[in-house]
Amino acid sequence: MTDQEVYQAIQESTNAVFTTMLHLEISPKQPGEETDPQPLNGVMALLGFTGEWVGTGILYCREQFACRLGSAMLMTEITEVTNDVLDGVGEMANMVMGNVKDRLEPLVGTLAMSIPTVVYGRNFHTRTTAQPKWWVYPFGVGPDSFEIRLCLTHKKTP
Amino acid sequence: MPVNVLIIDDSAVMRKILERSVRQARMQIGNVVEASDGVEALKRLGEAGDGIGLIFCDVNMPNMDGLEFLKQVKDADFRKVPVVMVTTEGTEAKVMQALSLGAAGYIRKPFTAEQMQEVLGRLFP
Repeated sequence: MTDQEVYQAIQESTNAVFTTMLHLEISPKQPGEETDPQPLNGVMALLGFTGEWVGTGILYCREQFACRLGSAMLMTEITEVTNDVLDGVGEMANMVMGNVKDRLEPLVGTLAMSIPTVVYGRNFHTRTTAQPKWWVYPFGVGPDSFEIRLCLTHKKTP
Repeated sequence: MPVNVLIIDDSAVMRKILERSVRQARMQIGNVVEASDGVEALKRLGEAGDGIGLIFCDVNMPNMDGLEFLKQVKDADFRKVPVVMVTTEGTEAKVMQALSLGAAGYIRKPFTAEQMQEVLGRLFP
């Protein structure tokens, strides 16, 4: 599995979910790798993958865009991070990662996916023990932005 | 005659989106009952008796997932109620698994209004 294949899977999946579900046009930015995640502020939805390959997929955004997502999904104005907003970000992550999973399975074999967990806070770190390298794909949506992050590594045999 | 719908999804937001989508699909919808997993859904079905005419069910849920719920419904008194599976996972294997367990349809998230109309139009021509 090449970096390009991963980036393509993320871009196509993210674009499909945002345009179909929310009718939001997104602008892909320059993707890259991250090995030393910096402290973050905002909302992060995480889903685990397991199979021959294991890892984690993340949708990360700031509070303002999380509220915009929640507002678009529920068709109502939301100005603060509520449970509905966290639920909405989790569901968007679920849909994006479900699509990514379908696109990567021909390359990495069958993957099972967890239900989403959503974290909201300030100055928090993420760390994974399985794989230090994250693929990070930033997207712009008008004045806002969000990131899709993925780490996936081949499971070591005992 | 309006159809009462049971929507099963662990995401409250997704339940609202599904309800809105079904109501927009030009179908006569009566009451909408919600459940957050298969266990709660079986309870709601028992309470509603034969009042539920259509079920939308997420696949990936805690406690009892959608496929297990589907098995239990098809073994129970509600086997004639059409169950449409709703999931992010659209691989052919998953679709075939759900259909072989008795699902009446399969819709993949994210879905368009046209896709929802197509599924409902097939079940309620």
